[in-house]
Amino acid sequence: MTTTTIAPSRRRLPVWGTVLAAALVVELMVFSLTNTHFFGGGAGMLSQIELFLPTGIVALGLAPVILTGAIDLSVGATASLSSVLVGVLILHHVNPVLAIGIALAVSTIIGLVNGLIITLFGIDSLLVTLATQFIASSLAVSVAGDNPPFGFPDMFLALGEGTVGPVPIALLIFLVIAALVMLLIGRTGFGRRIVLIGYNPSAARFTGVRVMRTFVGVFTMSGLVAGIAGIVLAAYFNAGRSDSGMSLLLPAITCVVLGGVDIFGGRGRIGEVVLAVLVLGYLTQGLLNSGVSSLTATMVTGLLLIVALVVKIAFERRSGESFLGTLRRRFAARTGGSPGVGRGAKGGSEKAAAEPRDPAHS
Amino acid sequence: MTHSKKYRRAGVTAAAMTALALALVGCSATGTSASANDSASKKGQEITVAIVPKLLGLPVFEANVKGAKQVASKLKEKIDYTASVKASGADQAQVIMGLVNSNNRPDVIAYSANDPTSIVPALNAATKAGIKVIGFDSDVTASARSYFIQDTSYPAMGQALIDAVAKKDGDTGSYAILSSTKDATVQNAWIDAMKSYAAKKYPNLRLADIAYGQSNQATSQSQATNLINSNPDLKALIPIDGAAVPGALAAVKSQGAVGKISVFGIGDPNPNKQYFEDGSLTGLFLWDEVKQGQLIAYLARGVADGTIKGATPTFTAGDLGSFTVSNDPAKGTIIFSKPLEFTKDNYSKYNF
Repeated sequence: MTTTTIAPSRRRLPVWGTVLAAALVVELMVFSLTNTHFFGGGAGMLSQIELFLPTGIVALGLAPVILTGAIDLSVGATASLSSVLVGVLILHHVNPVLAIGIALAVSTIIGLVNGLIITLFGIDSLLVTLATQFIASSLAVSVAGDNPPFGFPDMFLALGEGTVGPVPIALLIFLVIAALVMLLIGRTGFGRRIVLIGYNPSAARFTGVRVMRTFVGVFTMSGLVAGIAGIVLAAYFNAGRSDSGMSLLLPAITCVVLGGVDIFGGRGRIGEVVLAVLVLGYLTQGLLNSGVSSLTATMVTGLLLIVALVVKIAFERRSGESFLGTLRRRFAARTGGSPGVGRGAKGGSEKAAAEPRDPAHS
Repeated sequence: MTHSKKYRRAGVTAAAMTALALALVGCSATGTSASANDSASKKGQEITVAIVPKLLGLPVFEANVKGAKQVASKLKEKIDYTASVKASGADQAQVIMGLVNSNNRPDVIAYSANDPTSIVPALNAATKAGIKVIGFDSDVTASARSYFIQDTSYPAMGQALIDAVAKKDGDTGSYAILSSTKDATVQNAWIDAMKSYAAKKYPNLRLADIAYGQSNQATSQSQATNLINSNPDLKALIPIDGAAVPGALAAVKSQGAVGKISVFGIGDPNPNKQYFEDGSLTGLFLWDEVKQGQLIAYLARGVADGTIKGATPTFTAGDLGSFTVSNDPAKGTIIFSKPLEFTKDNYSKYNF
């Protein structure tokens, strides 16, 4: 209880990733067998989750934030603002590339401001991003005006509905961002600092990690990625709408959590988040394709999330420990905590003491 | 890793897979027969019409579906009522993509869109798959569908509301409008119609202000309270969306203005029964949703058969009579009816 043992890092297959991959394979097989339009010669299957990709992209920006133990509620509104901005600019005959650049710059600034307020004033990320969410969505509404922009040139639309061979461009964008975030978290010092802060912010601070700088970096990145999601949204729907991004937030959080990222930070793999995006995206569309009502599909998503979280806790059982014991151990660590930067500070040192974990687990 | 741990882990994996398999059972329940989808005439054959309104469970849309089902057997139609749980364009797009990709593709999709653009890609995919696309109530970009049933003509609605205000409160003083959002297409068209009709017919009747309740009852109430307090000479409040009506009425009541400020709204009678009873609601305008549902079914049969196509100028829809296709305000628009006024005396005859 009082010793913090760090388990030796072993090369073994990530268990949760294997479960998700297996789930994905089963899902794709079942849908391909039961639905005549699902497989579509392989290529059709790739376009099935087009509608879900903006959510997936947002999840990729959100995952590092949640890894630090913080949360970013402003991503949906940032995506909306980005989609509206790019649309309005293009319709005002700004070069599409420049328009995308401006929209992404604004999104990045929103993320930067989030990070700065959180670290400089030491306010909980939940509250700060709740506030910036309102600001960003109001900005989006006012930029969109009475006639939200629609009807963009084909060159821009390709980002949302175009394909390279059989692969949708939006899917490529998603995969490229996924690869970059995966490298960032797994292979760089910045990534290790993110995980360490989430795992134990006090320890991170004592070992000389620049916690504030890392936080600002993570939130800036989240803003940028949300901005990219907004551009894909605008290109897919051929319209910029001030409410289009709002529906991305909760499914994106669902993907991150289903992807095994601890909602309190410090643990999770980006690869598993990518798998979770695919599992959830194909499940939703596959169920709808099978004539299941949207009501049932939403319910199944909720059930799946609960089942997944319970199963995941079961995996974390130590030998000889009862299931309820695992639950108690995990949640005992959440009570109390020292004030500090963001949500990352919550549970602080008690968490690490109560729950020795493998920091190399990401 | 000990043996027991290994087995347990395997057990948990198995449990997870079982759970997922169970979750997927729902899908295998549907049949595997693929329906042939060509764009040829379906004359004489049974067709499936999917009605996809903005969201599930709204009484007005249930009334549409009820109307469509009343004439479905006569028209050899199967009505499939499906929609998303939330009023969201993206969710609606997913539902429509689900229909396009399903084993039993519908022959006709009739939508009421949450916004003018979000479902356009999905509707285009439907058209590409040989499904006929028609709209009702709320439209999208005209290129994504064949015909659109507009509830009522915008000028007629504006005229009805302004005439009602002038008749009740005289043609001087001011009125205020409570709408949903700044970019709501239909609401904006009504507002424009009211403005231009009032300016022409009652030059002394002044539009004090327009407020937006964001389709939210609480926001509508606070916006309506602002309107009442900042315009002391306000004679009438015109809430023109489903959440604005109860919001405006709550504001009028809490400000003690019942009887002083009359409320003429656009909305369905059922949720507003109590306001008719307590006298706070002066009048409500809409159209007969059940009959509109019947028109959806007739139009669906027509486009599936190919009897209504291109620039067909008029067509007959059974007992409903004859309808004209016009290009105003958009290509392929069919105006369903004149506004129907609900008052304290007649609201109980309608059940939606």
